[in-house]
Amino acid sequence: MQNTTLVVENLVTGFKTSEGSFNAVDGVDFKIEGGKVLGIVGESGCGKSITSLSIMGLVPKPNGFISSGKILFEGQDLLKLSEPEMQMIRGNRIAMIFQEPMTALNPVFKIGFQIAEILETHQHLKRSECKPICIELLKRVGLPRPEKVVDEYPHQLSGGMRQRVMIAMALSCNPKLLIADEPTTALDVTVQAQVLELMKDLKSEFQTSILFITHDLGVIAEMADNVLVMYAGKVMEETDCETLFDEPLHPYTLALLCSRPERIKRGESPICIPGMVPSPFDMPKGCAFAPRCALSKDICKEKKPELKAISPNHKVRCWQYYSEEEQCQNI
Amino acid sequence: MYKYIIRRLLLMIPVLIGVSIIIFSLIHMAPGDPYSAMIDPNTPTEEIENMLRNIGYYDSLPVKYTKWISRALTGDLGFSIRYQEPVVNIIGRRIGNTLLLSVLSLTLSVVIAVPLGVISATKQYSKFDYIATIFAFIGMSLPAFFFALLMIKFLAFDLKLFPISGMQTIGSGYTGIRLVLDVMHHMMLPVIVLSLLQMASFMRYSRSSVLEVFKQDYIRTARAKGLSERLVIYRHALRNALIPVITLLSSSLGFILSGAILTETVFSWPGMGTLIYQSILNRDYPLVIASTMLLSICVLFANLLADILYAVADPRIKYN
Amino acid sequence: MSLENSVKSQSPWQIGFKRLKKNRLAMIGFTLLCIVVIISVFAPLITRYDRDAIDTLNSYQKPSAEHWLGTDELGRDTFTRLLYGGRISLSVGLVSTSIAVLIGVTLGTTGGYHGGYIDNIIMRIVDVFMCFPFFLIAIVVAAILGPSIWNVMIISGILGWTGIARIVRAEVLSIKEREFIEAARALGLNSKDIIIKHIIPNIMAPIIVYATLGIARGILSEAGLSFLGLGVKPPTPSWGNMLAAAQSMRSLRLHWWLWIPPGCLVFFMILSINFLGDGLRDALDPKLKQ
Repeated sequence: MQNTTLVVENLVTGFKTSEGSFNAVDGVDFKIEGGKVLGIVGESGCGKSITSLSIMGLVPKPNGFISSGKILFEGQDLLKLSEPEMQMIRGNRIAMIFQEPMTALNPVFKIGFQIAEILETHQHLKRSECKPICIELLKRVGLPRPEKVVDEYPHQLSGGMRQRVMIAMALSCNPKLLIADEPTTALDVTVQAQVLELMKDLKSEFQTSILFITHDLGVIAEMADNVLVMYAGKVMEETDCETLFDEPLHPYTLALLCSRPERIKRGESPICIPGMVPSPFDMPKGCAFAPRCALSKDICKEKKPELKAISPNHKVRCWQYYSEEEQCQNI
Repeated sequence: MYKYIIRRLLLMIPVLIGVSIIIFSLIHMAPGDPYSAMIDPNTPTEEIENMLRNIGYYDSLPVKYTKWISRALTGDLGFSIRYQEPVVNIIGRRIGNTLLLSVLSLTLSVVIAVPLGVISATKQYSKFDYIATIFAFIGMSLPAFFFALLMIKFLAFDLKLFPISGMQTIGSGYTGIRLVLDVMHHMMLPVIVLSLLQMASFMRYSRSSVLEVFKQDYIRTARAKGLSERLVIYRHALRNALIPVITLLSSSLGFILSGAILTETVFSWPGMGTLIYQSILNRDYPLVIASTMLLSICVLFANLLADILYAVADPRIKYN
Repeated sequence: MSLENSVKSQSPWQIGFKRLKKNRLAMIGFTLLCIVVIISVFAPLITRYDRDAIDTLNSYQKPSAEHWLGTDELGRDTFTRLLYGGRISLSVGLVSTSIAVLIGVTLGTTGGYHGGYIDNIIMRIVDVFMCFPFFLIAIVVAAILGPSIWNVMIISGILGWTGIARIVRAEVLSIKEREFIEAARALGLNSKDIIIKHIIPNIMAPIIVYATLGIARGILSEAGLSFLGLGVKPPTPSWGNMLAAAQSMRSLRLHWWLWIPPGCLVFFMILSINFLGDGLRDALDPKLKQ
């Protein structure tokens, strides 16, 4: 237990809408060891962002709600904590970086103030003590002329610089867990590489665990130790990074790997997965991926498969990997 | 910043000229000459024509306009036909009363309505929000003068809580603190009418502004930092949400000044509104032109002030 | 297949009206509006009195079974005049809004589409009109043109177009950069056709919302002007000139049935229009919020 930072058990997060309610995250389990990076991949709308917001206790109210599950952070169930107790963890022991650096910073406050706020809240420092620490933090994330940047407003910085500010904010209290929700998606490729490099350095330096959410398998290959492939609110495949790229099992993972732009040769048209993510109000009766799956069989359309361990560190949710007998029993 | 203000002031000049031309020509399109009432009906026609020629009545419109504007620039706004007095003096006596009424009701409505709107937004879909929304809709839909009439009928006539009209008790000869109290008593109803109706739109506006800000990413960031909900709302959301409220403040100044015409008339409040209404009925055109121009300039300056405040409050606005 | 079911083809209008139907306040407003329109259109079928029938023996009657809302100083039936007055007030609202929309859309699209000095001139005109205190100028103009229903319509229309023009211009500015406009231009359509056939259909939502709220403004200015005696001339009844009964202190105090009912009707009409307009804005054009 000691070395495990986060354990998520059977997490179900639902949303109420005018057209009925649905589960955006539907029974997700995973754990992150200390100093490791867990990547979650999937298309937009598969529930990966909602998973991260659930851990932070920031599921949009009043429509979103966590209906069951456990989120154990260093052995403590976050779902049982009161709002003030969660506030002491947020930004302090669990920090988060968001996708859109352009809009994630408050436009009317100076950068220095926005970082100092965290130090004031969690380390009870006085405003005057914060400035040198802010400059130090900005230096650490590799921002040029940090003494100037503390007194600037967000609109005066570029997207990459703002994301560095976000990272500096996230690191200000040396969190045990860093949740990065598509931190590089909105950035240019060169800036993207720099930001990833920075996160890697910080991880090895401070033994921070990272939950890394992306739709970009290239970034996963670069960053993650373990990978979770999500589809329609469920984990489809779970394994370590190397195995995922060498021996992918789930047809969805395969399809994702095949549709990576770098695998497409000159002149070929890109391979895309036919169809779209099913509407949450219109989930297939069987496997959620069945309507788009090239290998789907009758059973796939009838019944949902469970996540099955193929080897100690490789789990997959697909009827293909059940024996005939098991399939029959289930029907 | 100074450059920005100067540039904005320069931009106001063509607008002001446009406004004055329109008002001036509008009023000179009016049929009949307003002076006939001033003149002894037994005066020979020739003499009347002579007099009218002397005061420039037969000049062409552009000539009249040029004469008027060049005099206006030196502070001479003309001579009231009805009151036989320089227009500046009459306006000077009245404008204070209007400002008293409008500044008080504007302040009152902002102080009450903006916090209510913010609370309404933070408790969206609650009972409080629901009642506030209904109230706001009623306030936005109730014609001011009808509301004023209802107040006079029920609170002044039937319950005798307030005086029916005017600014002070006639013939009372109150001085000092008694006078202040008397004026305040007379002011109550007009202030209630003007401020209640404006509260509605302020409340509605600040509510939707806060709700809009709540959807922004930086609010989520603020929560992710571990800030308390109080800080998230009153530091991060409010500061951003109040910026657009500033613009509403300025436009409501125009509303309050022109809306006050009806309200002032209904309450016989001796302000600019009643003055303009009466001078229109009396065909006292120099007075009408001057007061209309003055109010338009007020609106223009209010807009400028709003833009400057906006630029001060939002660091993203650049001044060029 | 489930895939096709999940992507139902609905036009934005259908989606909008579906949303509108769910908005309770908007539907209440719409119903009230319809009721008032119907009863004022069919006024002769509802009341047995003649609109202007004078009966001086029965002046200032209190409401009774005979006269539901009493009679006025000339013994005319207030309820009857209220119904007919609805025709006037509503048509002032409609006509003045049409004028405002016509001017606003024409100038807004012209300025937004052509840009340059044309846009500059139009926007300066908008600035000039925006700094007129609306009601003040309305009174001045009404006093000059003389009281008549047509003048009220024209005044309210001519003073009310700036809001629509600004919104339309902003929408056109963003829409004219889109590919389908480029395509239309590449096909050689002239600018008039592009504006009428391709741009205006795409900015109908904000126009509808503004027009709806404009009707309220028209009704309100009719009421205000007629109350001051600068609007619709008696004996033609309008809600505004019926309210003018309250100009007399005696009627204000004693004859409530003369002025409270028309005032309430003006209030309910504007309230319904505001409910409907707000619902329309939410349903058709969420980004227009205030």
